[in-house]
Amino acid sequence: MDKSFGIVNDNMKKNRKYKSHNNIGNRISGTSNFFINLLFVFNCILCIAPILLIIVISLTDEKELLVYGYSFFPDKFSVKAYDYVFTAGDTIWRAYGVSILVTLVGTLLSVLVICFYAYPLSRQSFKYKNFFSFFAYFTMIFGGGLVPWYMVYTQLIPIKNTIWIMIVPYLMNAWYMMIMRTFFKTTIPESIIESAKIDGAGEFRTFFVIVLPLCKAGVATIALFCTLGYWNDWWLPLVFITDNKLYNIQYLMYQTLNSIQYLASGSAQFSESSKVLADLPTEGARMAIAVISIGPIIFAYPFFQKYFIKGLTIGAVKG
Amino acid sequence: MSKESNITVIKPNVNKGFLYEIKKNWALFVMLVPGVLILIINNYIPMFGIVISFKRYRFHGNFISSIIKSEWIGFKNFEFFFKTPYAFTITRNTILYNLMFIILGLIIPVAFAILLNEITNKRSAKVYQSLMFLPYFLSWIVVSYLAYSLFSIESGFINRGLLSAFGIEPVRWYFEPKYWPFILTFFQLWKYTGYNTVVYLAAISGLDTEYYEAAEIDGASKLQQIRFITIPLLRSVMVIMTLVAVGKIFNADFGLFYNVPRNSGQLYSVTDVIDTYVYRALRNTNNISMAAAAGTYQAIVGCITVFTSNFIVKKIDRDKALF
Amino acid sequence: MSRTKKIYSVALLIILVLSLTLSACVPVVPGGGTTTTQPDTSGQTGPAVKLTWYLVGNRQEPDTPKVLAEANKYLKDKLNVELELNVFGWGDDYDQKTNTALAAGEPIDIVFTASWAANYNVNATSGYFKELNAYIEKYPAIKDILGEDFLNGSAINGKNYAVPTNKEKVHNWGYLLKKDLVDKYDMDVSKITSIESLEPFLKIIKDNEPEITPVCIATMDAPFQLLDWDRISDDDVPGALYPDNRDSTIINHFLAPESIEHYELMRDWANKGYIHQDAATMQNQSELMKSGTFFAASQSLKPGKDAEVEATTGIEWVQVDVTRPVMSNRETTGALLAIPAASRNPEKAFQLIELLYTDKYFKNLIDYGIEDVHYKKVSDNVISLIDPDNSPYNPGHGWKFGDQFKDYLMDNEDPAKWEKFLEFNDAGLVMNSLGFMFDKTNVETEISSCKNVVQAYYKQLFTGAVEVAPTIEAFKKELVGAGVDELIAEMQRQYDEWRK
Repeated sequence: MDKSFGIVNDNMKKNRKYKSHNNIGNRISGTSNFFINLLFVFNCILCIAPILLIIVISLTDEKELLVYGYSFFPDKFSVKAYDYVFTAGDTIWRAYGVSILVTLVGTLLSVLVICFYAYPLSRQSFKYKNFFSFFAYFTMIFGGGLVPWYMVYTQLIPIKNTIWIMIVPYLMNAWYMMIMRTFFKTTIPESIIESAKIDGAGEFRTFFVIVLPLCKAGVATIALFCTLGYWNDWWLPLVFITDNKLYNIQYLMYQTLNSIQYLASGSAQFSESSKVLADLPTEGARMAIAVISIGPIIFAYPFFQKYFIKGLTIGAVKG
Repeated sequence: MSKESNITVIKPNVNKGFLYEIKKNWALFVMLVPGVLILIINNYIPMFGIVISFKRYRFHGNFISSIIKSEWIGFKNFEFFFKTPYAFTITRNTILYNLMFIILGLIIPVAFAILLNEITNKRSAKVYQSLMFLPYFLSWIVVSYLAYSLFSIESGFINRGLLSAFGIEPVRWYFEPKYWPFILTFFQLWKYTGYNTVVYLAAISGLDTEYYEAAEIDGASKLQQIRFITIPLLRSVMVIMTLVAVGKIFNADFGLFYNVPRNSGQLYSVTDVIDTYVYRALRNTNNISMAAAAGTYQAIVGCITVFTSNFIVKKIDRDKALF
Repeated sequence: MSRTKKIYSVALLIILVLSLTLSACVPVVPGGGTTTTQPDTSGQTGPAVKLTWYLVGNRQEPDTPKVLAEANKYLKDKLNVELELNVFGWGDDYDQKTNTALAAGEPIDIVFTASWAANYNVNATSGYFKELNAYIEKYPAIKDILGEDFLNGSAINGKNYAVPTNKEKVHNWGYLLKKDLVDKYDMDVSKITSIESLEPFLKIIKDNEPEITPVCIATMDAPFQLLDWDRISDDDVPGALYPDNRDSTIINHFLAPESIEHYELMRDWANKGYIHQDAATMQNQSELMKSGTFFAASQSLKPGKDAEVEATTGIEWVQVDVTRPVMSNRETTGALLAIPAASRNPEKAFQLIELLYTDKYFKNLIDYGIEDVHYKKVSDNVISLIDPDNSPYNPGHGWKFGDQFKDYLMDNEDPAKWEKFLEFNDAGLVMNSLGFMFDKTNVETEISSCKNVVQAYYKQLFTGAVEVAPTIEAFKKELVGAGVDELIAEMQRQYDEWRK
C-alpha cells in the first residue's frame, strides 16, 4: 500500500535508459517523415501565430487599427503604444517589480515547502506517509468556498494587502508534491540515506547535501511550475489586493481590459468623468502590455528546459 | 495492495504508536510542518464554510457571528440553485467540456509524442517541442487578448484578414454560440497540448529499449511496435493523468471560460460553466449562501467522481489506481 | 483494503477535529468582533480615527497619497480622522472586492454603492449597510441639501442605507451627431423629434459617405434607451412602467409592443446598412465614437453633454434632445455612499460624508487635487488642469459623492453649467414610481435567471442583428421558463402596496 499514488512499472525499473528507442536503426520512411514534419510545422505555426499577431498589433499605428483592423502586415508601424506604456508613469514598472519579487520569493519558498513535504513521504520507513499523502490529496478535490477562505487571510492571519498574500496561498500544491515525492522515491535509494546515517549525518544534512543535489531535475521541474503559477496569477490580487502599489502585471492587464469595457457599457450614463477616457490605454497599448508581460517567462524557459524533461520523466511518469 | 507494501510495513513499529514515531523520526515530522500548516490554513479551515450553504446568510456584526446567527434553512439554497433553468445547462457544459478536454487531451498529445519521437532529425524535433510548449507559459488573460485579436468581429484577423480575402461574409464570433464549443476546446488544447506532449514524450524516452530490440528481431513493423509496445507501456501514465483530470471534472478552468469568451451574454448557453455562473451570481447578487451551495455541490460530486473512478480503475488494475 | 479504509477514516477524523479546534479560535482573534467597536472619539484630541473608503473609478490616481496627506491635515482639525481612500476599477474589480469584504465583515467605513456597482438594494437588504436615519436626523445638512423627497427616493422600506449625490436629478435621451457631417449636408436637426425621424439623415450619410457608419451602438448604449422605460429594477431585469405616468401596471418592457416595434425598426436599419455589422459585440461606444467613423450615437443627455463628449473624443458633436426630461429612480440610486454595518466608526464616517456636502474646500480637494499642484485657479470658481494630458490627479470623482454643485468648473465648461443643471432638474417630469424600491428577497432566483436570459438576447435585438419574430418567440419562452411572470407579479404586488 505504500505506493499510494503511483505506479511502478516493474519493467521500467530494470533498465533505466533515457535514450530514444528509435536510435537503434529501425527508422520510419522518408515520406512519412516528411508528412510528420509537415504536421508539426503546421502545428508550430498554429502555436506561434497568435503570439506574433499581438506583437504586430502592439506595433501598429492606432488609427490604422481602428479603421483597418488587425493584420500581420500593417501599412504603418508605430511604437507609440510602447511609448505610452513606458511613459504612463511608474505603474507598469512597479507592477513588473511586484511580479518579479513575488515570483522569485514564492518559487523559492514553495519549492522548499513542497520538497520538505514530499521527502518524508518518499521514505519507505516513514510510517504515516499514507495519511499525509491523503491529507494533501484531499485538498485537490474538496474546498470550502471563497468567502471563508477570504476570512482566513483577513482575520486569522491578516496578510491581506501585503506582498505575502500573493505568495502564501500557493506555497503548497498537492499535485507538485506528488511529482516530487515520486521523484525522490525513484532517484534516491534508501541505501544512500542509510549509509549517510551511518556516517553520522542528520536528516536535514542528508536532505540538503545528498538528496537535493541528486534531484536537481525534479526541483527544476517543480520550480518551473511554481514560477509559471506565480507569474501568471491574477486571481489573488483580484481578491485580496486593495493597495494599487501592490498590483502585479497580470492584474494590471486584467484591469486595463476591464475598465475600458466597463466605462462604456451601460453604466457610463452616470459618468461625467468621460474626459479621462481619452487617457486610457487604447488597443495598441493593451497589446503592448500583454507582450511585455510575456517577456520574462519566455526567457526563463530555456533555463529550466535543461532539467524539465528529465524531471517530468521521473516524477510524473515513473510514478 | 501491492507486493512491496507487504515487505515494507515494518512489523515492530506497528505497536509502538505515534509518539515513538515522532521521537524516532522527529526531523521528518519537522519537515512536514510548513506544508501541513499551509494546508490547514489555506484548505482545511475554509472547508467549514460549507455550513454557509445550509443557511440564509445575513450580516450580524462579524463573519463568524453572522454564520452562527444566520437562519438554518437546510437544503433551500440547493433548491434555489437547481430551480434555475441554468443549473442543468451549466452542469452539462462543465461536464461535456471537461470530457472533451480529457479525451482530446489524451489522444492528441499521445499521438504527437509518438510521432515526435519518430522524427529522424532530432534537432527539428526539439524545436517543434519547444515551440509547441510556448502557449503553456501564457496566462489566460494573455490568451484572451490573443483570442480577441483573432475573433474580434470588426478588427479581428480572421474576419478582416482571412474571410474577407476569400470573399466570405464576416462571422459575428462573439455572438454565435455554435462556434464556441470549438473555439474553447481549441484554446484549451492550444495551451495544454504542448505540455502534455512533453509529458508523454518524457515517458516514451524512458521506456526500455530492449522491447523494441526484441520486436525488431521478430520483424515487427513500426506501427505494430507502437500498438503493442509503446501504447501499453504508456498506459500507466495515461491513467494517472486521466484520473487527476476526472477528479476535477466538476471544476471548470475559470480563466478559460471567463476570460476567453469575454463574458459575452449571447454565448452563455455554451460557455457558462458552474464556476463562471457562481462568480457572476456572487457579483450580481452578493448572495454567498447560494454561491456556497453551488460550491458544495461541486465539491461533493467531484469527490464522488474521484472515488468512483479510482474504484473502477482499482477493479481493473490494482496497480494503476491513484490511491 | 480494511487498513486503507481505516487510514482514511482516521485521517478524516483528525482533519475534522483539527479544523474544529482551529476554527474555534477564529473569533478570539482581534479584528472580527462587534465587541471591539471603539466608541467614537468625540473630541478633536487623541489619535486620529482611521476611516477607510472604497470608491469605484478608473484607477487609483498616482498622486492620491499627496492629496490624502493634504486632506488629513485638514481633517485632523475638523473631525480628528485620518482618511484612507481606495479606488477600484469599474465592474468586476470593484464589485468583487467590495462584495467580498462586505460579506466577510471587514471594517470598512464608507463604500460607494449604486444600482450598478456593489448593488445598493441587495447589499442593504442583506444587512451589510448601516441604517443611517438617526445620523441623518442628527446631522441635518445632507437632508437640507438633497431635499426630503430625493433622499426618500433612495430609502428602502422607509430606511436610508445610503445617501445619494446631489447632482442632476433628471435625465433625458437623444442623439449626438458628428458636427462636420451635419454642417456638410446642412442638416436641419430640429426635425429630429423621435427615434425614427433620424432615418432621413442616416440615408444621406449612407448614400454619400462610404467610410462612415450611420449609427453607433455598443451594449446598452443603443437607441432602445430612447424609449426610456421607467425600470423597476436593474438595466437587464424585465419590469417597467411607461415613462409618462399613464398607469400603474408593470409590464415586461423587453416584450412590450413599443419595444418589438423598435426591434423591427432596428432590423430595418441594419438591413439598410445603417448599423454596423458587429454592433452587438461592441463594448465601448466612446472608443468607437473616437474613431471618427460613426455619424450618430444615442446618449443620455444633460446640459453641455456635447462639449463634454467633444473633450473625450476630440470630435465636435451636435446634441439633439429627443425625449422629455424625467426624474426617476435611475437618478436616486445612481450614485450613493453607504456605511458598512461592520464599520467601527460609523458616526465619524457619517460626519466625513457630510463634509462632502457642506465643505467646498474638502470636496474639491478630493475631486481635483491640490491647488497649484494639480490645477490652477482661473477665476474664483473656474480651474484649469496644470497637466491636462497626463495629470497625476484627475480622477473625475465629482458626480460620485457629496454636493456636485460645489465643484469648481473646468475652463472649457459652460460657466452657467450649474444653473442649467438646476433648470434641467426643474423641467423634469417626476415619475410616479419615484422612491419605490423593489425588494428582491422573495424572487432572487427569478431575477438572476431572468438577467441571464436578457443578457443572452438584448444585444441582438437592440442592434437589429436577427429576425425579430423568431427571436422574440424564443426570448419569451426562455423568460417564462426563468420565472418572469412570477417576477412581474411580485413587482406589481410590491408596487401596489407601496402606492397605498
